[in-house]
Amino acid sequence: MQPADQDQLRLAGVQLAARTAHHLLTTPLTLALGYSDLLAEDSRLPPDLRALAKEASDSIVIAAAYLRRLIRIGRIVERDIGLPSGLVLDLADSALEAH
Amino acid sequence: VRPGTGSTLAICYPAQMAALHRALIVGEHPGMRLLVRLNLNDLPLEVLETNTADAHERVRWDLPHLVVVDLHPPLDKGLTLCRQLRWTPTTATIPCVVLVEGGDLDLREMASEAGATICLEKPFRPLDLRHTVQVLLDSSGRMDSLYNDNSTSGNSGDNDSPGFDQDEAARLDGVKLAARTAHHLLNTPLSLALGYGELLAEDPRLPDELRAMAREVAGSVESAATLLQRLVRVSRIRERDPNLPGGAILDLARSIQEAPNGVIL
Repeated sequence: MQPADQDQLRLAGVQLAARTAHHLLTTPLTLALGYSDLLAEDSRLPPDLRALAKEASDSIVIAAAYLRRLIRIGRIVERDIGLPSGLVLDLADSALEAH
Repeated sequence: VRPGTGSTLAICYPAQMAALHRALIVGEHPGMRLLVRLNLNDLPLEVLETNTADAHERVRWDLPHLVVVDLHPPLDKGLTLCRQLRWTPTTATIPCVVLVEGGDLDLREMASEAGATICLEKPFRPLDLRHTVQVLLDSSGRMDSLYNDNSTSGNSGDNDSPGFDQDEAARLDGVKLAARTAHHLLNTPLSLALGYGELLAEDPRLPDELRAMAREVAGSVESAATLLQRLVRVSRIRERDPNLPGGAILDLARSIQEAPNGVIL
């Protein structure tokens, strides 16, 4: 197999996994975000608990943003962050708009 | 000394005498440190926190009874801290709880070899962390590794199933790369969201209606984290739903190979 073909197949694999993650995680993240936002805005909650709900909501927003970036991958640029299981994608350089 | 008011003598007790038990939380992510701190609030502990760079000095100075390390890439600083704890005679017996990304057995082994007393996978349940800390403090002085072997993942990457060819190997390599990336990026925010959701759900001040919502938050995030862990375990490509707008997705149930004894390959 030519290296270019192999790269295309790897990219297809990346996009397949990204699509899967996006498809499977969107519903639970949407639910979690909706409920945490409701809690963060509920005046019956003491301020410290509302702050916890806001933290939860912010964390879910971050996770959802990563998912959205993952499905925009148009090429493979890897980076080594020292994970024993291997390299990870550099999302900034791998995104479609980085071409 | 001020004339007429007598003198003031300040006595400084060593830090380790100030409280019955003291825990030091180490990590780069302030949100994760706060989450651990909140989870330990119910225990009779003085809880300190610091970043990884200052951690060894803080341990030597404060002599905590227990250290919780949030292991986050780059890993070398956190692992070095674990080794320093073990190599330094005055800190060698301090129990060390290491929080690792879930599903990565290699990471758990590295942490264990570096001196972790126990590894907890992120996202973790507040009760698990509290129970672990309580047990370790109750049995302080014990340095036998309590490494919590949870051999449910493990994915050698080998695939000798019939029909496995070079094309599938390349695609599978891409799937694993994306899964690893997703897992790495989403693990911390999901851990935080789950932790905060659980803390909310456990708070007695919450009306029942809002407690149910908090449980929904925690349950939904846990469900997302579980799916993410399954994605990391994919060892062959089986697709489903080819008519989805973006194209087919992985059929996780069929893409994770299990041996007859139930061990995931």
